[in-house]
Amino acid sequence: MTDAIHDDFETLTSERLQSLFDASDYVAGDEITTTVLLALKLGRPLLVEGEPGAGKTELAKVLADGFDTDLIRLQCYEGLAAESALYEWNYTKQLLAVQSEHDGDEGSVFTEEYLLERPLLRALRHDGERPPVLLIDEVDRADEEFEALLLEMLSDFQVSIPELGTVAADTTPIVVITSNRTRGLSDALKRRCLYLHVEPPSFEKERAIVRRKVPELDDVVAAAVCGVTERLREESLLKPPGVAETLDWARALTALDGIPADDAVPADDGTDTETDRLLTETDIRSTLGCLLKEVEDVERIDDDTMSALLAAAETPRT
Amino acid sequence: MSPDPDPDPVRLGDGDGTGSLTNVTTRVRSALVRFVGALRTAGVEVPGDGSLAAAESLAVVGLDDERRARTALRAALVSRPEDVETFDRLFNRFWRRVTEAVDDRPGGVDASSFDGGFASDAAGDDAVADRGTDDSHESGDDGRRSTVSQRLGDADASATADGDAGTRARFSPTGPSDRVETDPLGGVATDDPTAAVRALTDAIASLPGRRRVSAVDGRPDVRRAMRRTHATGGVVMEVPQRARRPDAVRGLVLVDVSQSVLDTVDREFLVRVLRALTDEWRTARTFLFDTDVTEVTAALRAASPEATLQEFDRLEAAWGGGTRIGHALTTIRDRTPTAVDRETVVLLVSDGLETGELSRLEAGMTWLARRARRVFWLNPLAVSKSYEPACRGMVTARPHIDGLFAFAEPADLFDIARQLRHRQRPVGYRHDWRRTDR
Repeated sequence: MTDAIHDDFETLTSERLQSLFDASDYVAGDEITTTVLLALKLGRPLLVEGEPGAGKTELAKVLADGFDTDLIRLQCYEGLAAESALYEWNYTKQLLAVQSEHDGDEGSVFTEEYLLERPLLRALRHDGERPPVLLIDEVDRADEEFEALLLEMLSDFQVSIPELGTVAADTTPIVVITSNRTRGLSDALKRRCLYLHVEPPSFEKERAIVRRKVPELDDVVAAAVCGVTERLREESLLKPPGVAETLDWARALTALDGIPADDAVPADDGTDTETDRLLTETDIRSTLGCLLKEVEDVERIDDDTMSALLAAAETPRT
Repeated sequence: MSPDPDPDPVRLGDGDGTGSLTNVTTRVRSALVRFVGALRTAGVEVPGDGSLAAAESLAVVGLDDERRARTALRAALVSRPEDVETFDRLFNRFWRRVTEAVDDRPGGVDASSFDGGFASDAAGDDAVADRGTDDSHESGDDGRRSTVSQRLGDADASATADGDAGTRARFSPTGPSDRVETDPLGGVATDDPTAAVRALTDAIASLPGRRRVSAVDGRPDVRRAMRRTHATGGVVMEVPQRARRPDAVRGLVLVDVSQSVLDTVDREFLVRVLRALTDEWRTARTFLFDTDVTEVTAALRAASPEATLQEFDRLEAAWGGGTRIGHALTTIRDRTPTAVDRETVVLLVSDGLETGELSRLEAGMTWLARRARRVFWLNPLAVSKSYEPACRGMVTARPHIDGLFAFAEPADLFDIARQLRHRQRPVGYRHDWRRTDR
């Protein structure tokens, strides 16, 4: 747990928010910081789009951690309905209650007692000291009908339960919606949100991320890892590696312990031998599955591309 | 929570450095509204209450820092990554107007001066649309040129260094980049596709040509009527009619030049087919696309195939690059929407291995199918008997096309013509000469 920020959002500054990100080892540029600050101050949901593995979900986790509040996560999927997202009646309990009414205990079975909260309702009725972070993850996987369900909640932060009435949030939750852009979202949903597109990181930013997330990896090797990943993204791949893949790869290399970082100094005579390399072809080939998740992409890494990757691994060192 | 329609003017000038902005807040707000209008005119998807959201965002970050203001407005007004470029271009003008107003006239701002850049934006949709289009053309062209010229530039530099004048372009499609020898044409024996293109033209013709034939709903054929009266003693028993025979085609040809296509289709054959289409059809606009789109219609009218290739080089039309069909279609839709009308037959040569966004491909195909008379997809991969259109791009595009055919040699064009002439039979690669006895 990092040092939570207990400032009010009204007085929250971008510097303070940046320190929150730093404390959580989340490398955020000015654009992310400013947009998140806006979302917090305006009380608007934040729609985060970007390639898979770009750190969208992590952003919500970092916010919850930094603000020392609960993270309520709703993972979207095709066919997601109100019963799984909003609320559901406890039918079993209701049935038992109706049967027991014959014993003289009469009353409605549509009360709080029989209500099962799902993530959206839980976020609205959160009674913690600070508003929770509601993460609606991969909303593009859900049907368009589900988007309509979100509209009332995201605009007024309330939902209508026919049997109970309207449930409104006492404190507006921090809403982070992520999308991988597998389909376009409705204008109505986008209108209610502030938009943030997470770009693939630059070499320096990715290097900083690897350094923070995988501190056990030698810094020079980390630079080589980022160089290879950056070069790989220049290829026309079905699924270019994101930051998450880079981190996976860095951890894999660490776990395999196949990188002689201490011996990675070029030979005195300047010859380029296999052992001189930070990353060898064998290292890359054996761990390529961490970076590429499509068989067609793996097949595209021929000898020429491999040479280019090895060259990219060497470049940052010089 | 409903956005405040009239944010506190003082907050726009939050901080000492921008305190003088208080008296120009109205102007800033006005410029902001016009900025939002200019974005919409330029095709950016701005939410209906975008102006309010933008004002709220500016109220939070203030006008001290351009970068923060840009980020704030982008978060409030842009919801598609492809709109960012347009946003940035228009924001620069917005910001210039705002800062000029603040810096030059601290005691108040003359409306005409302050609104200068944006007033013209709002003056008329056409004017803005024209300029927006021009701007986007300009930037788009620049962007394309920078990308393509870099590719070709590299190749040229290497070619010079290596003394290999034949190396002109690079393939960098769905696989690794690779240099390609562009030997003078004629090195590969290929049948002349002109006859096949003529057969195809006859099969898909829909525009009236010069020749007239008997028809039931044409104009009276007076000469024939007079001739027939000889048999009836000068009495006109019936009036035959005639009409122009449809033998012309207005077409749009979109050619995917990624390596996965060029691996299957001989490049010489492709160029000859495109030239024949340009010659035979009444009008045929041709675009090459990989990650960019380049119109090569004029180049195809060159004197010889070799001259066409030289024109391609001059246009920096690169062979190779990843396939972004959706991007190509939406680019053509946005920049040259008149390339397709209801009489246009579209030939799309591609393997369908889309590397761009499928939603964009679907949007482009929907537009094409709705607008064009017919959309035929010529897929080089379909020459394989085991081919199934199961890749994501083909699955997305297939509901919007009128026929999916194999395409690798003249026989394929003859076969497409044969299939299309038999209008009652199903058409497509499953029924072509490779898979049947016809």
